[in-house]
Amino acid sequence: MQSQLSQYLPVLMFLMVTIGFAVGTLAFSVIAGKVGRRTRTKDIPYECGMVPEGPGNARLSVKFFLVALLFVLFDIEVVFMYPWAVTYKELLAKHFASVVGGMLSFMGILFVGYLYALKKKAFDWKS
Amino acid sequence: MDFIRYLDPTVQFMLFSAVKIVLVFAVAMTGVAYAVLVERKVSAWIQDRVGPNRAAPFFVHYLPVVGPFLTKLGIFQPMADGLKFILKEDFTPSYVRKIYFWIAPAISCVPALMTLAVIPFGSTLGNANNPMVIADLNVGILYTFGIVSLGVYGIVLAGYASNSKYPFLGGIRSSAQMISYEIAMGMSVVSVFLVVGDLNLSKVVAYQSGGIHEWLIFKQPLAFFIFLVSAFAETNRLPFDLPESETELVGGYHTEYSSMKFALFFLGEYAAMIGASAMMVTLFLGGWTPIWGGAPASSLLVGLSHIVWFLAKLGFFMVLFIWVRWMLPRFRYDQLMNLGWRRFIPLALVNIIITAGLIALTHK
Amino acid sequence: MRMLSDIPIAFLMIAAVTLVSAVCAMSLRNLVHCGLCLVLTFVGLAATYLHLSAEFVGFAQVLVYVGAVAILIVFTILLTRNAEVTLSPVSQSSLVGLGIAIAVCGSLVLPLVTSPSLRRLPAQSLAPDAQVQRIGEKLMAQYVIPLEALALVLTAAMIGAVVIAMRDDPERNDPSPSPQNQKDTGSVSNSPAGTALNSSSSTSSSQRP
Repeated sequence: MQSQLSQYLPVLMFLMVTIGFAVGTLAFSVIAGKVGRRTRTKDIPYECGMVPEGPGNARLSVKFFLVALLFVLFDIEVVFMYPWAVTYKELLAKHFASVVGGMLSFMGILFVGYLYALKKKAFDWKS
Repeated sequence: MDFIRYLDPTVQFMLFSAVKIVLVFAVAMTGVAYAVLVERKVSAWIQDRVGPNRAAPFFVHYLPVVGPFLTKLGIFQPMADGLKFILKEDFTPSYVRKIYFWIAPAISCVPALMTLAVIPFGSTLGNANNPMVIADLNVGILYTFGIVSLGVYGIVLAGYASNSKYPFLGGIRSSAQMISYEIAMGMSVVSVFLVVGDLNLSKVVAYQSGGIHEWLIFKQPLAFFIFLVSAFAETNRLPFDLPESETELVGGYHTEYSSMKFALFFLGEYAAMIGASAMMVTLFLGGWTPIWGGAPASSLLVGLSHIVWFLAKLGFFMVLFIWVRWMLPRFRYDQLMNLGWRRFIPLALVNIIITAGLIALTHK
Repeated sequence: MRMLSDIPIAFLMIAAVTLVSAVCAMSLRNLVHCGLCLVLTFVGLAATYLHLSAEFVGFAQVLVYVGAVAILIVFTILLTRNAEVTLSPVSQSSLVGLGIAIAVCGSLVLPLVTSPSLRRLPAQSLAPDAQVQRIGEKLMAQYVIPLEALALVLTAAMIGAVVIAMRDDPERNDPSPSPQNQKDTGSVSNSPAGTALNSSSSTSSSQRP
């Protein structure tokens, strides 16, 4: 393979197949599916038989937002860990101090933030 | 098959890729269909029921012994299910946000299938230039995690598009759950890559090809445990099926869906199970290698046996997924978040540090 | 196989998708549409990285931006109730906007133009399978201090996030929950994100076991 991009051709082909499948089945069910009538009772949001009240999107706890925010930060941390993990063995001989100490302090600094969030009950969903 | 050799390498490559894609797709689809059947049969067995044993096309009755036996096994049930999904009324309520309502099922099923693209499902079929993997990417694991993280969109969009309370709650809940466990999952494999030293999944398999004692499940049991539990949470399976927990949220994000659109969510869930099982097989159970280990196959027959080994290991995890579903009760949401954020993340970090320390010690 | 990288058609397609979705993300009225267009922009950027043979960066882009940052944005939009209300711009004066745009653009372009990376160098021979390893090597040997600085920034962000989101901690521990309407007007915060999201205890079945 001369170009790296050509590795992705099969991925692209697979993507086409899966998208084609998804779109195809959806289209097929529209064509082949039973055509029903649209009645009023059928056309209200399902709430176990109650008549729905208020808008469909209720306001949610800010915790969900916090979880997403912390997820971003941890995700970045994990992404930086991968190149380190992959090269760890090779670099042990050459750069012992930085490869061990560098990542240890990286994780340590982030762990402080994690402990702070823990202390502030950011992960406590019981309340 | 001789004419293939005279083709241009590019055409050859494309042809092989196309064949592999069609095969993987077909096996995955059949796998999904029969996983549903196995799920129903296993649940029936666990609950002391019979399970699906009726559906059969008319001609089966004319077969002497085999016909009734197959019917009893429910072999034809998935076909009947599929047909029914297609023929049912495809109802789009008027209060939904139309575009998103239609694309959400597709978005939830496409990424689940796409994860299979980097899984090495066999060694070779005799030709060393043609490994049994759709795309042998150097950053295979990153590809998987990237694609898996796209699956969240299907659920969020379904919840948002439905414009109804239960789906909305289910969608938000589910996405928070999935992103929480994605961290634990991502961290647990860091220690695997400390040991292996490569992100390429074929290399991970090659590392474990020495036999059962080389499997990473024994070298990294903690990482395996975290990955396994996170996989349950990522695929929204019981004990973590909070997104659809029927006793609280009716059906979660797919409450308002019907017909084939619902089927695509269903398919996405099972495809995600297959994908997660394939990941676990590749990362921790030696991929396609037999128990006694083995090099890439040099003949067609050995190559096929490797694929069978892979499928057998995959089947083991699928049955595990199903078995756990009928054994364990559902977690509460606070317990779920507690486990993900307060137990697994520190545990994974400790595992990384211990692994790194051990490697450093043995290295010297 | 070489065709794909030689003919810029792949690049043109990727660039077109990225730019069009970026423009859509800025100009569409419905915030959810904007958020999802932004997702497409991020995907386009990831594809650009892949096109440049930067696999690790490309998938890190997918993982962090598409899978995390954009999720956060979509979450934020969904958690605020009026996602579909067309908001009036903060400032009516286009002159101020123009000034800020030029300043931001200038500060981005200036280092870019003066940077040595713009000089046309002969392409270095990249060992394709050693890419992640090389990033790791550079990270551990040359860029340890920036890595630690990054950890500090991330920690600061984490603490900031917790401080903003967990602002109404004492209220939450109140054993008798006050009525909803009081809560919503009661928790006024000075940050825009805070005002939109400070409705922590006004819902919901989802967080109560």
